[in-house]
Amino acid sequence: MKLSYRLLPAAAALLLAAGCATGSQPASNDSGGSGGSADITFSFWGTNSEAASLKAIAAAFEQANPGTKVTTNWIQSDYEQKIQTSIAGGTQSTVMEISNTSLAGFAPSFAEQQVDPGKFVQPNISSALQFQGKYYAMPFAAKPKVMAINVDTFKAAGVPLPSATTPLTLDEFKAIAAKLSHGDGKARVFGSSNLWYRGWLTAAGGGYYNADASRCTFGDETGVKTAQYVVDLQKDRYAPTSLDIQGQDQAQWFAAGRLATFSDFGPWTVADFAKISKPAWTLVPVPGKGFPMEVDGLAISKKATSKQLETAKKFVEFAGTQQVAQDKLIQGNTALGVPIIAASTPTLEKVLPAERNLAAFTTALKNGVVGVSVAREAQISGDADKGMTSYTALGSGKDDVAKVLPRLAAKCTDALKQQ
Amino acid sequence: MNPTIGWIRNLAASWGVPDVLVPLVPFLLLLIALYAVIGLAAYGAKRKWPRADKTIAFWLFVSPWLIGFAIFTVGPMASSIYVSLTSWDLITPPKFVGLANYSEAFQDPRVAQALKVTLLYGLISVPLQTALAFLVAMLLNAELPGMRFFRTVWYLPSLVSGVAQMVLFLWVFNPRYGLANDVLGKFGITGPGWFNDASWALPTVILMSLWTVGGAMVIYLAGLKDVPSNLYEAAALDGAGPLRLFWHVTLPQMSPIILFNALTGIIGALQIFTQGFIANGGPKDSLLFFVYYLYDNAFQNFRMGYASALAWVLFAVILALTAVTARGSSFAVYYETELSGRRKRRRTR
Repeated sequence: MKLSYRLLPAAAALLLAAGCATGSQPASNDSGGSGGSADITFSFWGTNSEAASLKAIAAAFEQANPGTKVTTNWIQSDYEQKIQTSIAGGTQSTVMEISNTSLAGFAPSFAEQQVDPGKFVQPNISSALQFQGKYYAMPFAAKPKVMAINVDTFKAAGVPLPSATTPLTLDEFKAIAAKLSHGDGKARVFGSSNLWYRGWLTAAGGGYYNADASRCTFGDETGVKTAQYVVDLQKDRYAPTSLDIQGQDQAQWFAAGRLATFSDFGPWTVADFAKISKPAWTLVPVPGKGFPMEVDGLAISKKATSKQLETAKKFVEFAGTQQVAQDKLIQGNTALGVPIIAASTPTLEKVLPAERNLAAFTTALKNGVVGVSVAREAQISGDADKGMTSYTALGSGKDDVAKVLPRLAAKCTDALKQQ
Repeated sequence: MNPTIGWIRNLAASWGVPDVLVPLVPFLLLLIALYAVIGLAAYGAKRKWPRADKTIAFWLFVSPWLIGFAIFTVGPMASSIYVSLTSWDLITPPKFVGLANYSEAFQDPRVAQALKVTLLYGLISVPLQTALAFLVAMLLNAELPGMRFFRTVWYLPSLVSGVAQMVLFLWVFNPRYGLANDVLGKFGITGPGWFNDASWALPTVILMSLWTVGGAMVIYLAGLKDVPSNLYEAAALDGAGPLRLFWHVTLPQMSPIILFNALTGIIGALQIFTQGFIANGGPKDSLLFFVYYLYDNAFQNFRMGYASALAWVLFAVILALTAVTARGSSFAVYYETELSGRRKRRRTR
């Protein structure tokens, strides 16, 4: 009897060790881990309508593949943190939504995929989801940006409307913004909405990183010139500063006639603007080379079992290349993104009347510039952005962009090299 | 996932346990097994020491807390010591790096900035909060009609969560549309940028912290009610005026409570996070509080090893400051029990 009491702590320790030990077996993903079921789980982020799109795609897949089950996991906030912790805990979903900008950091935990670039409307779409020459996600939606213009303000100022298909140059845009700006104080009408530096840098032909992401290039001549362009537009009061828009909804400003143009218009913005009947508005391309286009893809967990992998591959192929799935990116008058296959691309154009020119999205999709993916993007660009907004008039600072940006870019390059 | 846990979960799922309950099954099984072991140990102890009933009962009653403490507090703490010695991004397996994270922390200028901001916040806000809470408690201790209403009004803000407070004050101190600059404008004063100005951001957060002194105020109020009235009567008979009453009766009697509030205030101040998080560290890192920097490294930069090392650095700082405060204040804090203890010892001699 005495011996058995002495063995009790050892038994408890053994039990705890069994429970706490880390294993290297594939994630169970709840169902299908070992039972031979082909059920998969699918994690994604987004608003209500975006989640509705993805749930509809999952439902359509189940319908097209009787006997399979896709359990959806809608992560409403801190998406990347949550999937990263789930990967660490081995509880990640079989399929995970991922954007091209975040792909590099997650690639080691994703299975390699076979992607046929020819199925998509332009080559940038599939290449956006490549990392070190391999595909780690199947593209399923693109998020190009366009610019909304207040037609009434243009007419009142006697300024001709920009072309619906050809982008303005940055100098033309500045001249137009100057002509459309007027008034003082809280009644001031701005020719432009607040200017997103990174977007305008791409529009000016520059980039945050160089092509192979070995160097941060926003401190180069184009970067400094573009920063000065943004600062000048704000200083001349043609565009509101970050302080002006703090706590404000720029879509409401546009609806109230306080903004003549709204340049950061993504597919998800359509729903907000669909409610605006007065002033009259339409969409045109973003000036210059346009803003960077985000491409969203579906990645498969490296730890999926062979049966799950088989189902997951079918699912991502279905979501990215089948018209029945791509059409579901548009729900009511909002869109998770622009469909990326030729057969579905015009679906978004039909959401609003032709005079709104949603076809501008199709043009932007075809010409969209996609940035490179960097492994520690959040940290590297976050530190640089914080420096820009702290020290220069791109945010609340006053220092000269020509001095600050090269310094920040050098630090940014050092951080890239440490990866 | 751990293979044993995975196996138990699959087994539970195959037995028809509802999906939402499946993750709980391994945990419940672990608890059952633990209690079986504890029960057997208690049974054995009871047989060996039949008169130790109360001791066994004590350990059995306290065991749920002990188990919880071991699993949810000691376990993660021990785990974080190990993680602090690794480089780990949650995606790839942790790599042992020895003390490199600690060494980096001591050379990182942002750690120095985070410590500076956090200590400055604690150094200024804790004395201000202590003084204000004590002053308000003194005022609200007066036996006047309507006092209960004012006590409630002062206490209410401390019920508002940190995020809601910060969002509220971001609006109050919005340089363009905020109440603060609007009011200042009526007197012809151009208000500062508050949270948007590197030199004003920290003072603004300190100012904001004074809004929630109600919690400490209630503790002071309870302490004031507990000061024996005979001490005041005796001092008054000796000719003490209000100032002397305060200095020689109220303050010594309240000193343990002041120390308690100061200590909890220091610990709370060093762990401040929400304000820095919502303000994204403030301009020029003016609101880079230590815990926010730690969070940023863990959940934005995914540098779990470095963040764990920072957590241990913070733990050491808090421990040291608390020890210094507790030790340094011993000469100024009056404990009745200590005195009676000393008297007792004297009598024994």
